Amino acid sequence: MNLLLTEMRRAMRRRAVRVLIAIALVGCAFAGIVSYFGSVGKTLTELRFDDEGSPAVMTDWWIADANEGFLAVAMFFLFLGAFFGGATVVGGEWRAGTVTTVLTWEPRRLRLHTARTSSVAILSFVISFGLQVVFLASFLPAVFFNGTTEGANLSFWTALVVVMIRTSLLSAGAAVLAIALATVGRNTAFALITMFTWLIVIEGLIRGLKPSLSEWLWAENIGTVMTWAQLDEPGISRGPVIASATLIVYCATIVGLAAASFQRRDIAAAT
Amino acid sequence: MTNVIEIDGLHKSYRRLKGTTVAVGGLDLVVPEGGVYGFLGPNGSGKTTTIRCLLGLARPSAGNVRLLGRPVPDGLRDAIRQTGAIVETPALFPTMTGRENLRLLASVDRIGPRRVDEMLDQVGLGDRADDLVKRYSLGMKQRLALAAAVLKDPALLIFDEPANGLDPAGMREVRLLLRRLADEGRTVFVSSHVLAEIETTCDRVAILSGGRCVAQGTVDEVISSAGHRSTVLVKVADIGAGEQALRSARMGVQRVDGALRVDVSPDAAHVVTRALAAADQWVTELRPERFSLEDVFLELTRSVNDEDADVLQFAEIEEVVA
Repeated sequence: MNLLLTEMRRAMRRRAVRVLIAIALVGCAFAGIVSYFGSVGKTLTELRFDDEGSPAVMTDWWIADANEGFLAVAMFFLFLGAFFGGATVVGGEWRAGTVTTVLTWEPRRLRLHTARTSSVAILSFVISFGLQVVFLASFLPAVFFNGTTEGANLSFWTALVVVMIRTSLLSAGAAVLAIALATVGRNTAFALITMFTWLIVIEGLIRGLKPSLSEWLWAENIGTVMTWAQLDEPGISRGPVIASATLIVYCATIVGLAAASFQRRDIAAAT
Repeated sequence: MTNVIEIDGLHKSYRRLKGTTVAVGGLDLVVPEGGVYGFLGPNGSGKTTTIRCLLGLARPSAGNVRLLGRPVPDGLRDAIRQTGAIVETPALFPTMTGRENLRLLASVDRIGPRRVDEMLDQVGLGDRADDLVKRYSLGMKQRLALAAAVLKDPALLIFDEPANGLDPAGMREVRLLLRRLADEGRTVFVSSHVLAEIETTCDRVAILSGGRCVAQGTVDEVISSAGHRSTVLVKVADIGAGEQALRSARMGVQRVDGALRVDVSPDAAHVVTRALAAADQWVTELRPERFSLEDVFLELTRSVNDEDADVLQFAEIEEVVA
């Protein structure tokens, strides 16, 4: 517990993490301003029947039946931020050589790695959830002054909270994956390059050349979990539960490899 | 007296694209409890690799390592609680202040903030404790790392080149700190290639070359074991007559820069003055000529590097001299 708290404090002191949170907050403020001025002077009917929906209509934040809504805008950025934040927490430590310093205090590497991974996962979950709250809260002026809360009943709030928790869990997963990759490569760039090469190049090629394998890809499984519905795409027959299990197995495998790498390899000087 | 470090047949090699690099090749070392122990060697001799193996940061290819009586890595957790260390450059969290750095490390072992403040004052960083570490000079980072190492009040301190990057005043401070830590009853194991520092600070030394220990013992033992006998240098008005007088008294004499190097121990200098006085030669200057650790170090490390000589332990050197 002590080590977990220490690792959380350390992660929160990383400049990159703070910058990412600051950028997200600025983005939320910008979204709030755009949503407010975009809804000024429009009637409720215009807002309700806008093809793309309106953040001034609270029930458009997340439409459970359609598995879409304005919250989806934030999801991609949250995953991206969580991944980058996770990678930089570990990559920065390898670059500064502080891994050596910490290991002269806590030599049990698996324990340290577990504490580090857990602390970043918890932080990613909390920060991600908090940023979603701020993002949605930024729409409140538009809702209260120009829009409506009509239809925002218990089932709406329940669905909204569930999708926020799901998004936060996926962000935590992204951060854990980033930590694992940065641990294997011992730098931030390795994690970022590996992930984006895989998602954009390799999965793109597989999708194009072997569509029958699409349901095994990260992107398709993440999409299924995000929307919590089977994707309406050729070659996809997986529901959200199987997709979640697939993602967990993928993550667990990479995290296991990273832990083994951290446990067995020599700790060299700062890179 | 118990041993705080025991290294038995330590081998560490790295596989590279172009073959295998041997960093440490069969090192045996025993460091007794108490005092300052100097671990000397030129760059690339395997000092840092040995320290990394001691602290469980690197896995030995062969051999056994024990730290405070516990095997590494299995018993490392217990040993590390009583061990403070700096390995190579001081690695601290640059975006935190000095105080935050120490508090963060202290929280791993549940050490209170008062101890942190004490240590910051002890290393002279009390006034700059709330500055970010990235704004510290190398000397200040080194002092902060020293404070971090001493924070858990360890029985054993392992310092890898602690005076690196320090100015002469900083080096002196480190030297005094090492001595003080040893006087408090701790064992200080310090690697360095700054020999003048070591010679004045250490009680015992080991010299490493090419991954092997080529000499170990007290500083005096190591100097004398390398075959360097102390002599005296003497000046007289008539150097020729003086030389003649000493040779007549069956002493080995050699002319050196207008003086005579007489092959007797400084403790027996009175026999030189007596022989000269008997020949009516009056001494104008007499001083002992001692060999420094640096002379021995250069000789031992050069001979090993040049000839890839066998490992020469202190006992073996002694045997040769005898």
